[in-house]
Amino acid sequence: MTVDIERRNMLPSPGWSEHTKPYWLAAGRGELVIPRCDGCGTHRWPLDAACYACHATEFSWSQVPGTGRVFTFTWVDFPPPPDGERNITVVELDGTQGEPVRVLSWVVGIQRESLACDQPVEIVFLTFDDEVSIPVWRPRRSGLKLQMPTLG
Amino acid sequence: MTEGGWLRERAAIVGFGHTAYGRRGEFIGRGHRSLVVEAVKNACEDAGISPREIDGYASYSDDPTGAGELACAFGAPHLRFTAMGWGGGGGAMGGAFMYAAMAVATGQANFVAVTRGIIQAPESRFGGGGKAVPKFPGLQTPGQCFSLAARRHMHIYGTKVEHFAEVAINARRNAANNPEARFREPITFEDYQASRMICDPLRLLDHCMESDGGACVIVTSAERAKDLRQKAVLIAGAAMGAPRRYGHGLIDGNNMSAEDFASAGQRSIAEDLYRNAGMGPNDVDVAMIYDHFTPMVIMGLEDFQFAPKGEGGPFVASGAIRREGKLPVNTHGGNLAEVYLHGMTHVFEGVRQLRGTSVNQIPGAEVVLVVAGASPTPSGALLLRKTS
Repeated sequence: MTVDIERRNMLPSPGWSEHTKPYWLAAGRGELVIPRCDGCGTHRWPLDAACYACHATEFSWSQVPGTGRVFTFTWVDFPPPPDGERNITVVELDGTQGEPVRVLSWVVGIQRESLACDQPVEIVFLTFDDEVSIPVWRPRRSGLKLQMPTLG
Repeated sequence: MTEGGWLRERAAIVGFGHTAYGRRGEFIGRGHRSLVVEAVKNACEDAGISPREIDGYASYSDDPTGAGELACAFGAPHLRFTAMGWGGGGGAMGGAFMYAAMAVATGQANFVAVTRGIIQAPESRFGGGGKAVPKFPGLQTPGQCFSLAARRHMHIYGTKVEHFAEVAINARRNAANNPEARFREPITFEDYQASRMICDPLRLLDHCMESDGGACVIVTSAERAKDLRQKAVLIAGAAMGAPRRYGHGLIDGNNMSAEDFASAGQRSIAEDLYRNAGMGPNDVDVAMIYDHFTPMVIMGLEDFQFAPKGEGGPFVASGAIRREGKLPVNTHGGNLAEVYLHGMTHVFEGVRQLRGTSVNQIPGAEVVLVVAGASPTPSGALLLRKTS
């Protein structure tokens, strides 16, 4: 399909670009991928110019389990979001090599008083268009089937 | 570990000056250059030198008025030194003073003007956010970025919003005596709680103001400073930098060590600064700590070792940062209450305290710590000492 670049530019950090395309396309397949050093296997996030552990520059996007815990968060109170209460959350990922990897997204389906630091979360993908999704998080509740919200 | 110490008391601040302090966007019509030129002239007047004698310029945060323009404007016969600090916002301010001090101490220049001008047009607000409300979340404002550290600090150490409020209350209390301050109304905890929530846990009164203005500080060698109009204030030490893997820090880094995340990112700067100056936190009489967001003052107090890690909240709650307390902080009112000029006004107030001319003069003040903004790489800090 035709990619609506303007619409995709509205994606949250790290934004849509040739550079980050693999991340969004993987999300469209239901996978969370993080750059991983081809030299020593360290997960590199943010994607600095070289691997902080071995200084190699080559990397591959590599799938991670998609579970983690809330490291910290805030709520977008003012200006108020047009579509209801919303948080911004830093999640520390499980299953990475090297120093902890923290990614920025948000937790869906949660009340303000329930969101807390250290809370276990799991990945869920918001459908964006035919080939791209946005990885977000929900409280970890193994075994339950979540109704996938769709962005309008 | 660096040896440090060489720069100790070899440079001095001999003058400072500024324009009127305006509300955000007030000076759009006037233009940036005009603000900086006026600030330099006022600083030179204070120092008792001609702007023509300025042979070096240092600035930061990609200040738009360059050294070449200023040297031309003042007909300087000989420009010898220019330096621009990487980094946005008020963090690289400390570094700009370090460049200036090194330049005059090594004889590369005679008088270095550290300049900064701010005009916050709608498209260039440091507070971010602005025009549109984007559909998808991500960090859109500095307030949101710093609230992540505030939340983490609350979670690990039990820091409370009452502690944040005390920083805001203290700033207004000091500004009440400062005729140049833009926000002079004292506030109570009830006022704080009633202020609009912007990015939970941070309220409007946790955020500094936005403002326009120009600012300049004149730095020369300690030797040359002896013969000038004002009693010189010595730069006892300067340091700049960032912790490991800090990058853009809280602005969009998020992958520094967990300890540095719940901090102002200034732990290593503090260690370098104290070593360079041959001093420790107990030597500091008054502290000017960059207050873009109230929690960053609390974390700065911890980074600079006035309170053990995690106890910055109880430290401010004890009244320690008030004028009558053991470590008066931001006696001018700071970014929260006086004006927001990327830390230059914190240096001004440090100089006033050591000249004995502050509106909230702390009796016996001999040493002042000035801490630049918790920011993307690099931040920095200065220790100033009164001349004997």
